[in-house]
Amino acid sequence: MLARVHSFSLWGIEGYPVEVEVDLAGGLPGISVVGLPDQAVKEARDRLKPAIRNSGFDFPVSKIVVNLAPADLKKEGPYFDLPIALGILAASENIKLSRLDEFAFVGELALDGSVRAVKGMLPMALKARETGKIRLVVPQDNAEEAALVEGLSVFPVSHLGECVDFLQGKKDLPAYRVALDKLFASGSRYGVDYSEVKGQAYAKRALEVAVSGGHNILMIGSPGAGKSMLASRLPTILPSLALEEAIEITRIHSAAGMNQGKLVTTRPFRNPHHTVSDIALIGGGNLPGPGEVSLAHNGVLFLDELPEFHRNALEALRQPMENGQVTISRARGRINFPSRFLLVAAMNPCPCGWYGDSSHACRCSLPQIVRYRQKISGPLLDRIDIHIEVTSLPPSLLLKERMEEPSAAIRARVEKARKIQAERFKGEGIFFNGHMSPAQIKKYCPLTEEARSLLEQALTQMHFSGRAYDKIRKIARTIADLDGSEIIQPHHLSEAIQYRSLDREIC
Amino acid sequence: MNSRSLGQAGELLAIKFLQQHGYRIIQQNFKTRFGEIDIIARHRRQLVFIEVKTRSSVEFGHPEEAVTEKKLLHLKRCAQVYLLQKRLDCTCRFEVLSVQWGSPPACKLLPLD
Repeated sequence: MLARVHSFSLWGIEGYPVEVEVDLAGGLPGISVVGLPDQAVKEARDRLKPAIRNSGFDFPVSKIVVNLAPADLKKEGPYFDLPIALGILAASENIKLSRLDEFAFVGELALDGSVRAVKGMLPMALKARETGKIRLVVPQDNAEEAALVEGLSVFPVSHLGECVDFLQGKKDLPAYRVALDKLFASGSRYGVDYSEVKGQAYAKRALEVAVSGGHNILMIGSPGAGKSMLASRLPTILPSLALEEAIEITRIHSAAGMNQGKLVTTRPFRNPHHTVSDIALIGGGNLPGPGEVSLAHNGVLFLDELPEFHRNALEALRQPMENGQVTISRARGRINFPSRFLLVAAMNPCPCGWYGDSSHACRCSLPQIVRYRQKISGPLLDRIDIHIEVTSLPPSLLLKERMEEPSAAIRARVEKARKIQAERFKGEGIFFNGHMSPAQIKKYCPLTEEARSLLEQALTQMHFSGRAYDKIRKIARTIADLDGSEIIQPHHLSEAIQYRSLDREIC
Repeated sequence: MNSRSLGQAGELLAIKFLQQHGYRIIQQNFKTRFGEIDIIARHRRQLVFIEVKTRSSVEFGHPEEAVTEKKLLHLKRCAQVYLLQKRLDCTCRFEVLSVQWGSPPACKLLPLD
C-alpha cells in the first residue's frame, strides 16, 4: 500500500516542496529512506518507531520504503519526521487518514510522539503559499512564524496523536491567526538607549550621520573609551522596522534557526568575534547557511578589534558590502543571501592601545603603529566613509549626572534624513548617500564657490588623500540632509572633514 | 522451553512448512566459520538460503524484526562459502522464515531483496 504526503524542506533561505512517498511491502521489517537524505533524515528511521508506538498506534511489521521526491536534491534536517510517520500510518491501512491530501506537513518528532519545532519555517511557509499548498500543519512552536504569511491556513499540532485525530476528522483544529499589529507594537524593544552613554557627543553625532546616510563607520579609540557601548546602541537609532523588512530578517534568522519560531521585531546587531572564519562571516558550508553578514541584514554588523580579524575574512566582506547580497555557488545550485547592513568597526589606535590618549603613554614605535594600521587593506578602508576618534571621558564628566539625548530623538532626525534621500534617489537604484557613485556625487553634491575653496584648503593643509575628496562630499551631503538643507553649506563640509581622521598622516 | 529447544522446535516446524509449500530440503545447519545457514532448499529451480527465527511471544517484537543486518551479512557469506564448496553455479535467493510459537504456531516466509 502506498501513501503520499506533501512536505517542505529548506535550501539556503528558500523552501522547496518535497513529496514524501511511503510504501509498505512484504519482506524483512525495516525502513529505508531514499531520495538523497542526509544524516538527520536517515536518523528519522530510528525516531519513527518509538514515536508511533508511544502515540498509541501499531508500527507495521513490514518493509517500509520512503522516497523523498525530487530525488536529485539533497534533503537536510528533521522536517520529514511528521510526514513520514503519517505516511506510514496511512499506508498501513489500520488508520484511515481521509484528509491527508488536503495539507502539507512539516515537523520533527520526539520519541514520545510530540512534535518539535524546526528551523526555516518562514521560508517554507512562503514557498507553500507560492506553490498553492495553502493549508499547512506545523509544530506548535512554529505556529506564529508560519502564520506570518498571509493567505495561509496554519494548523499547529503538538502531538502526532493530535494530528491523526485531526486528519481522521475526530477533532477540529482552528487555524492559527496572528495579530501582526500587536506583534509590531511600538516602543523600544532593545533594552538599551543612547541616553545611557555619557558625553561622547562627537561620536554620537558621527554615528547619527553614519546611520542617516548609510555610511560605514570606523571608530578608533583606546580601550574602555566606549566604542562597544556606542556601537551596541546603534539599532536603537535606526529607522523603525517595516513589516516587509522584519519578514526579510526573520526569514534569514529562521533559516539559521535563531528566531525561536517568532517574528524578529528588532533590527539585528551582530558582533562576531575577531577569530571568525570567512565562511562563518559570509555564509556557506556544505549545505549553505547564512553568515554573519546576512544575519546582520537590515541591521548592524559590528567588528570589534578590526585589525585582529583574519585578512581573508575581511577581504571576503567586500562583495557583500558592494552588492548588498552574497552569492554562494555550489554544484547543486546557487543561493543568494541578502546582506544589506551597516558596517561599524572599532579598533585601537596602536598595538598597545594608548596612542593619543591623555592619561596613558603609548609604548609603540612609529613603524609598529604603521604596520598595525596597514592590516586593514585599502579596498576595505575605501568602503568605510567615516572614521572617528573616540576619546575616553575625563573622570569629572564620568561622575556627572546629566541628561543625555534619548535614542528616540536621534531616530526621528535619522528618519527625516532618510526620507529626503529616498525622494532623491527614486529610480537611481540606491537608497543612501553612502552608496553614491562618482557620477552621482557630481550630480547631487554640488559645492558652492565658498565651500569649494574651504575643501581645497583642507585637502592641502591637512594632507588628505585624493580618495577623501569624494567621501567628504558624500558625508557633507548627509549632514546637509540632516539639517534639512538643499545646498551643502561650508559648515556641513567642515563637519564632514572631521570624520576622516585616518586620511590624515600619523605624526 | 529454553531458547535452544525453542529454536530446534521452530526449525522442525519450519521444515514441515517448507515441504508443504514445495521446497525440497537439501541441507540443514550448514556450518562455516562465518556462522551457519539454518536451511538450504530448492524451490522452482532456485537455491534458497533460509534463516529461521522463532519467538515464543511478540512481547519483544515479531520474530522477523530480530533479524539484523549483521545476521543477514553472515547468511550471505555462508551462502558464498556453500556455493564455492559445491562449485555450484545457479541462481539463488534468501528468505527469512519467521515462526511464532503458540497454539497453533504461525509460520511466515519473507523474501529478502
